[in-house]
Amino acid sequence: MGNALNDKDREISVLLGTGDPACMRVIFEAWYRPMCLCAMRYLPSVQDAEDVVQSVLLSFWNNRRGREFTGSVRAYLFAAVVKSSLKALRNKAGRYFVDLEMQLAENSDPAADENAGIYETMRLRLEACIAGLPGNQRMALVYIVFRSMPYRDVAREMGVSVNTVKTHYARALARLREIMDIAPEHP
Amino acid sequence: MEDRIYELAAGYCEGRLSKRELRELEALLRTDGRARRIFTEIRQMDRHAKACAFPRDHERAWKRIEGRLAGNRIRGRRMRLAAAAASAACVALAILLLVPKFRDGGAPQARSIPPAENKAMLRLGDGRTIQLSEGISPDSLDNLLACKAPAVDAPCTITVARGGKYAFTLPDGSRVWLNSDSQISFPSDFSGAERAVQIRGEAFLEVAHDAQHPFIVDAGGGRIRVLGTRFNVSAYPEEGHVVTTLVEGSVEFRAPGGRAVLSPGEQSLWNRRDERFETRKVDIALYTSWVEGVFEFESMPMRQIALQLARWYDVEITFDRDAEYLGEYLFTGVTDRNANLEDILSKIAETTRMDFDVRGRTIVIHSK
Repeated sequence: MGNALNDKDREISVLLGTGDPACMRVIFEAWYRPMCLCAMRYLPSVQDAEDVVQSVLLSFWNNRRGREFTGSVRAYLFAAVVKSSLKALRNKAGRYFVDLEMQLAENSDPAADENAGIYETMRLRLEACIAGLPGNQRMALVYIVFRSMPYRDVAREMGVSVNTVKTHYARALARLREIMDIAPEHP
Repeated sequence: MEDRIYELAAGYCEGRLSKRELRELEALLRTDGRARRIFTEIRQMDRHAKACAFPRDHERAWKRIEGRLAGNRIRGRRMRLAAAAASAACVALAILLLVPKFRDGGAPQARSIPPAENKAMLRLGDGRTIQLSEGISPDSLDNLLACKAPAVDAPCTITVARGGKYAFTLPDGSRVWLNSDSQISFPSDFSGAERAVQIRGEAFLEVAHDAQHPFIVDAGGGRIRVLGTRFNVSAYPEEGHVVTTLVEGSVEFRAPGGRAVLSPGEQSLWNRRDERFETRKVDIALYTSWVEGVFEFESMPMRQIALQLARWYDVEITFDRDAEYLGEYLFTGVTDRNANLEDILSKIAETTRMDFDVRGRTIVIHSK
């Protein structure tokens, strides 16, 4: 794993040096998902997390192309994601409780972001538990979490009010947590 | 009100609370220990679930990045497949989202197993056959029939082979979408009291309204009677059920063992073997999105998905002897039907316990 990452770093560094845009594709394929997961530790909205990661990737390309990168591209990018995520969270203080989010982020395990296997296992477990939810709650959760649909659209899809969707979703999460018996934050 | 904390917590998770709501939530959390506990748990689970469910729709993300890259030539290809797997032991729902497939814009990747094409064969009542393809506009079929249909009473048949699809308009103005490995027979002129057609396989129909001449579909041993409506019927001989899904209007499905009158959004399942009926409410998109070029599965056993892929790509898909159990995996997902089969399979393999061995047009599924 470590070697593979080093190879990836070298490959990217060379592409970056020649200003080859394929560089971005390589980065995107290798780290887009883990970078987003990392940003999601700080930002409640998946969209916000993706916005941060995309900005980081773009400014990396705009500022660094044409020169070979010395050091680990991966480490650089992840540090940039954490920094930008914190900044974005503070900018959104009117929407979120910054202290609470930072506390939650610090309690979670950053290594998990890069270990797809951990999420794979958790996801299988999550999915198994979702099946046990009451129909409306399950539906709301699947639409919101797996299909990333805004509550408004979910409401239309289910033929209920937005507030009902919110209640279904929140109750689904509370129930899931009970079923899954999750310790505070990921173990 | 007890639901309020749930509403606020969910609103918070979407990042869409107004300043006033955020203050309301803050006050609630400060004064109510129970609300605080509920909120924290919900927020934690929200993060956890979203992280587990991620990635989604990377294609759009890449497009956004790509569009803002200077001098970039990389093109993402639309390919999205969300699949959910569940263990056979506990009936579970699982969803995976597949990352998009990238390729250079210049050299198109070899398309060894391309998706279904527009092609069908028209057999006229007198036995003459005409190949239909993109060369003939599907809509000109009724003209074709008008010119060439012989004055025999025998029905015409349009057959779509595996790896094909075809859409056209019947002489009465009704529109038909035929899926792979499907067939429809119909009179060359609908002059009788009834407009009667026979369907094998799967078709989506938009029946022209004509109260005087009911439209009758015979499919897999059942009979559907309609006036004017849009619905999907799936009656593959190798599948045990005749499945009728109503989008609009009203249809009556009759078969040995009973009858069902469907309202929009309802579906009847008729089990051919034990002649049992079941009527249920469904998400109609799941059963009709194929018309728009999308595979949509929800909690569908892998075995059934394999059947659909096999027809669409004209391949054989089997399960390895030690991987038969994978056939019971329930998947939920959406993917573009114009993707190459390899794209879909490699992405499934990347994200599940399944592996695919592709040899020519034979694919064997085994577990990793």
